[in-house]
Amino acid sequence: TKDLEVTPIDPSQILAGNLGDDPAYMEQTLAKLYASFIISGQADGDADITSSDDGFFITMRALWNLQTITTDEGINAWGDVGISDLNTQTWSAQNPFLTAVYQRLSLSVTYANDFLNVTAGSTEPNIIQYRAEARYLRAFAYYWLMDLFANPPFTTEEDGVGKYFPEQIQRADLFKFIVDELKAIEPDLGEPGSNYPQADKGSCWMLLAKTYLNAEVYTGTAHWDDCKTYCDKVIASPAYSLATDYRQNFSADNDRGHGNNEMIFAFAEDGINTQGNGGITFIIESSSDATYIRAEDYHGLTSNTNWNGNRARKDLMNILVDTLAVYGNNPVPATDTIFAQCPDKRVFLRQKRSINIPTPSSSGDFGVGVYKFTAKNHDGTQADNYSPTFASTDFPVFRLADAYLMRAEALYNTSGATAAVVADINMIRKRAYGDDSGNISVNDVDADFILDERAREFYYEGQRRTDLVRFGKFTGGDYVWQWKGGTFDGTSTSSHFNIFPIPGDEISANPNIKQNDGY
Amino acid sequence: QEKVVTGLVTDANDGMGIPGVSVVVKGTTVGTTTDIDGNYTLTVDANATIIYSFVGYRSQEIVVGSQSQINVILSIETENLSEIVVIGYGTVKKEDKTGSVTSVSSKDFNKGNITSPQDLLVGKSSGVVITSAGGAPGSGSTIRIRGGSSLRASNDPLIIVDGMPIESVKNNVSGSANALSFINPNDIETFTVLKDASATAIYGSRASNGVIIVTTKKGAKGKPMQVSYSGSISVASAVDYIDVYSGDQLRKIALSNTSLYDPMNYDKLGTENTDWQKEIFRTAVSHDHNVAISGSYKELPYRVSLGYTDQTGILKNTDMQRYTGALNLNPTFLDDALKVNMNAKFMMTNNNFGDDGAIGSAISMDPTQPVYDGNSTSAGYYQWQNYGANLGTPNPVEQAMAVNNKSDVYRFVGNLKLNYTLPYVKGLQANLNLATDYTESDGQNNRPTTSPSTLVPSAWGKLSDYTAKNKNNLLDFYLNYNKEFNEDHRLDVTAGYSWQHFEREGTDYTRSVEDADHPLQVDNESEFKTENYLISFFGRLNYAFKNKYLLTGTFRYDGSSKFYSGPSAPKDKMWGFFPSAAFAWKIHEESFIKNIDQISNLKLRLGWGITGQQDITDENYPAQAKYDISRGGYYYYINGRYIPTLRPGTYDPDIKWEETTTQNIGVDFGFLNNRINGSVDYYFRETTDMINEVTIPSGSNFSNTLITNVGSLENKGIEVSLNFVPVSTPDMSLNIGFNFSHNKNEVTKLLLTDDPNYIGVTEGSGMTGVTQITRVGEAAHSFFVNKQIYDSNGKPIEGLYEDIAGNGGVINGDNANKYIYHNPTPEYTYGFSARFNYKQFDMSTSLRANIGNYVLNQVASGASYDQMQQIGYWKNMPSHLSKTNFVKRQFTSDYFVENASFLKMDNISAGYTFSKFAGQDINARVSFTVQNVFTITKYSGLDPEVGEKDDRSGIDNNLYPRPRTFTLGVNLTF
Repeated sequence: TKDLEVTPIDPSQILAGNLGDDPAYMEQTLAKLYASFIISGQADGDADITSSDDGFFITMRALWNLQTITTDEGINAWGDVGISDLNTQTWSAQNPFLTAVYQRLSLSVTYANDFLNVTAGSTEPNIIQYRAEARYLRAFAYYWLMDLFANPPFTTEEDGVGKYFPEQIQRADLFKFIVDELKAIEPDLGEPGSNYPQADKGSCWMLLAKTYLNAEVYTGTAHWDDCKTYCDKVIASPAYSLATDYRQNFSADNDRGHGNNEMIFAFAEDGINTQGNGGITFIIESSSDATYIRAEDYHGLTSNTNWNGNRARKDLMNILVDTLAVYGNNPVPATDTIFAQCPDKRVFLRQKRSINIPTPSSSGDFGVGVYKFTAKNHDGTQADNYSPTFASTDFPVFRLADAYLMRAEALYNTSGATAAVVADINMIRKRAYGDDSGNISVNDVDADFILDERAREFYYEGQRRTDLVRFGKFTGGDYVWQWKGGTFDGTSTSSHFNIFPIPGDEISANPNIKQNDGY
Repeated sequence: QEKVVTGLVTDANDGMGIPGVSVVVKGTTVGTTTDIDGNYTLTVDANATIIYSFVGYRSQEIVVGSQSQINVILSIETENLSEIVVIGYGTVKKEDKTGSVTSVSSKDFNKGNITSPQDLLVGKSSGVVITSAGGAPGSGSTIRIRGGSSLRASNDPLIIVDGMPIESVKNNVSGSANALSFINPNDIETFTVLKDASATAIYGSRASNGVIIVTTKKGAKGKPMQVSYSGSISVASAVDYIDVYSGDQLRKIALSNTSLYDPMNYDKLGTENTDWQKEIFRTAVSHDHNVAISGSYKELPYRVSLGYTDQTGILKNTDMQRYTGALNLNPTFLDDALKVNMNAKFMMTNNNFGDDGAIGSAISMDPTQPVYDGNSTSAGYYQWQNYGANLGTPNPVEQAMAVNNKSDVYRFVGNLKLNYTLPYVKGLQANLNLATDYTESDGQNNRPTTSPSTLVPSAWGKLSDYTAKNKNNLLDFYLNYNKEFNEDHRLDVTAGYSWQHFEREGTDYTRSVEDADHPLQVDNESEFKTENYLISFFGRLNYAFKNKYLLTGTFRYDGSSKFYSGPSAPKDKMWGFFPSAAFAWKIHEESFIKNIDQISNLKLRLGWGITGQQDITDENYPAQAKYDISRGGYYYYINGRYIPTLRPGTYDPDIKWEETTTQNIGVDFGFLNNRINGSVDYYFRETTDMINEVTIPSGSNFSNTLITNVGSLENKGIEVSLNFVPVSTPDMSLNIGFNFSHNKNEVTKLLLTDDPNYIGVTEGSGMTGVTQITRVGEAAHSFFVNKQIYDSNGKPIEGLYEDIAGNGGVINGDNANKYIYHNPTPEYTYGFSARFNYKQFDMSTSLRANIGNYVLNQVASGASYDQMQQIGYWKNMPSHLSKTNFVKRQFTSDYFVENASFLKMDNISAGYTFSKFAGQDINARVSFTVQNVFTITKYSGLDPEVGEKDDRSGIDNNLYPRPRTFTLGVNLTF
């Protein structure tokens, strides 16, 4: 009966007890923690979670959907289940996109917990750094769970693996955990810019700044000074500088290896080695179509292209293109399809069949096309590791421009529109206009301006929903956009939509989890 | 006083002598067989009784007395109760069986161009539903006995070929379409289907879904050499096509809907009227040849057979050639004390799978476009990609023809059975069975660089090579003790040990075509290797009292390596105990019945047993914590280079057997000398610790779902089988068989928790939404759809559904507003078969009906006007669309869930037998068979029998159509 005591004979499977056999295993296990955010799994058809479509529900893709098509930035034309609910702020706890984000972020937490267990007690310097990175990625996953779902289940390396019911944590308690955790790991992380795309001290400061920026939403108490403290650290670091060309941040050469020192933290994608229909490949392909923005022409992707789903609503265009100023009080002329007269060089928009979208699920040929991200290098040349199907453009999570705009917002909220606020904002605008012509003055700055400037700088980067919530404009009737709430002109929506519901699957599976209010 | 007896044995049907009849003195091994003309000579004692027996005929016993010439007329048996039925690790007389066991022998098999053994059995046994995967050459089938005991784990029955349990169907090697096709159907003698637990429990942890025992033909001792040839030629063609719009119709729809379509796309419409389905299908001619030589060389009985099948599919570029060989030797030694039975089967198959995706493309492809436009980038084929639409429907003809999707499969199955009658202890026998099953395959699935990117996504052409190997070795040893104490007590005890090892491995290498302008784009190489062991102890006791009361008890103590969770785990968790008990009462042996001439058989059977299921997941180590390495393309950038990632896999250290408890009550009956006979069975089966893949609390394991023991389900049903022989004369006979089954499936538990609001396990895809559900209190895989609202003319109103939840808002597609509406499993199944003989003419037919099965017609629900215009190209639709006139697709409307009850005539066959052929002493039969004769159904799609695809049942998604086949066959025996 010894025959029954079998262990895997396949070399691609490593028994947990054998992880110590080869130092490469630790690097590979760490690699999984990063990969869990940006690719579907271990192979085509072998995704980390069970879902109806591997590509749809990759963390950064589904997260991008929750942050973008729920806002004025984007709207998706596809008929897949759950998309129209996101387009119109009418989602329920059954929505597959929010379910996937919730499950995948929790899974990244569990992977990190396991890594911390496996490496517990190690005194090797590289393992100590890996452990800090694992804790960083866990904090990163918890940050998004806190932002989107408020009160997720909470586990650490103390909890085992098996069949049990994790406890729910309250949003304010999770805020404290994230902040404490990030401060604790800071010394063990690599120096800023030292091992991109892995997390380093700069990544840590940015996540702290971002958490403090939204502290009032999460805890009821603002932390503007703390936000500024960590923005200061980033801005002061010699490792970071703004890219000369704004577009480089969204091109195949946007990584630090290609000299882009604006990038602080990103999820790497690669046409040959890190493939999938998530991340930037998704943003590019879903925003391309056969008529107006052909992926072959704009992005150099020739295979499996032009999915024709995402485009911006006219409301985003109105923020990005100051039509009155640019076109002299006239409507945008149909001839200027790419808003070429616009002096702000951050505008990568294209007029489609009409700027208005006739119904929430109208074809992607309606609305305002966006081609901000590209699979080419920023000078139009072909990317390294070029693939006709998959972009090699990294997904930018934190870049230096955000440190400037976060600091500006923190300063504005503590001491109003000052020269320091204007100076930070003009850092960004000067790059956008190529000279001082777009610079603003103290009189131009108010809360709405800061929110709009964030849209101009960060549109399609997965930030919009969080920003709108912080400014109180995501739900309610203060600011409506086309098809918000399901009407053409937009309508007020209930404030409970500021937080997504806990997925129905989780409520069924875990009796310890209470549904969020309003759902 | 010894004397010589001679005589002639003839057939009651035609008066011809029967060669090879066994003529044996009762109670001895003294005997002979008849010669080619049916004559025999035997030296016997005057007090002796001679038994005349021959397969398929009713045996006769004659006391010799003063006779020196005894001529015997044997008639074909209608129902032979003394027939031996093969059961697990032994045999039993049909009249003594206590469990629910059905035996189907070669004379009852389906006729026609049949390349796969299970097709012989379709519709022949109550409680057995066999659904072919479609009409592709050599395609496999799903076999369900009594509805299946599992949800997530395997529902395939255990299949045993000549004593060797073979790999489960789902572990079939890649490159092989069908796990059973290694057996030439012409080599099969009988199928025995063990249905209830009292019959199957001796196979323990693999027996929950029933057992099918396949016995192949053997040589017979003392028989002269007999050569038989059977050959056939078949012509197959599609019964019907899906009705789609013609080019003219599509142009008209496009041009008359300027509000819906972008006039900018009108220049993309072509001028043709291409019928794409006609372009990809063809009339297919196949042929099949078999030669079998059997007899006895001196003391060595043998049977050798060779078969060759060349089957052509009706979809272009699909075909299969198969070569089979079988050898059976069964000599005896040591004065018959040692019986040896050796089987060797060899098969080689060359498959050409083609691309059945072309079937769906032929429905979607724009009929206004030509097949060829001469564009050299696509090898002359018209392709949308050349006109800017990268996602355009691939040209179906190119899709079908330009693929190189072929495999070669080699398989060897051999076993050596030794049966030794031990001296000193009367009635004690030892059995040893050594068996091996080895399969090897290699194949490729390549596409040229001229194929469009919808077929070779992400790469310049596609090259994909694979190999696979399955090994399965078995050792069984058991002792059998058989004793009759006096007239009243009969005992038959079996006890043994079994060891079986399965090993599977395979490689897969997919890459793009590399040339000067195109570096290697995709380069995925992978391999796998896995194994599992089963170790078992088993036993059975049969006891008969006064030949009226029969008692059977069995057990199996099974160990499975799949439940090993590491050195610290308790050893007993790998082991399961599976007992059964059965009681039968031969009522017709009671004195108060015995005198009623009309009743020839009446038996009551009661059975109970527990069986297990160890085939629970796709992997062999579900209880062990382990890490999986990622493939090329799934790397991440760490420390300055791309490296593979290691992912911890979900596991459940406590995972264990599924257990199914079955209760069965049955009656066997025979009236009027068994000219009316049959059986009725009622069963109740409950599966506990049922394996399900459930959503688990986030954070508790390494995925969002876990395969674990959480649920329970019930099946109850009734089965009836009836045989009539209304006419039985030497010149003419008519046999009619009928069977009926009813099964009701209900899921009784699904979750770790008891959440009353739990919606259930939903099934669907991102594109089509949730359309099926498995929910507590309902049948598994029930349809879960929105309730359509109709206008006064009975036409569905697009997008309008009943607000079942009453919350308003979006109803279409919302699970809260869906309801359960029927399920894909038939409520009732019927089988009917008839055989008619008149002198040398014979005729037979088989019909089958499924009642109460529903199908979601996804071919129709995928049709809408807005989908006709795509990004830069046009798409055709089934013309069913003109009935609904839907502008947008309505995937979740109950309108598309259709009653798919059907009556099918599977085959009808007529034959004529010549006793002299070409003036020679050759027995010849010529036959003509039609398969898939007709289907009567209300279902609006192509075929109501949609089978399982991608783990879902009841969804009509462009099946490879089952053709109608005409076969001309000839059998020669000399």
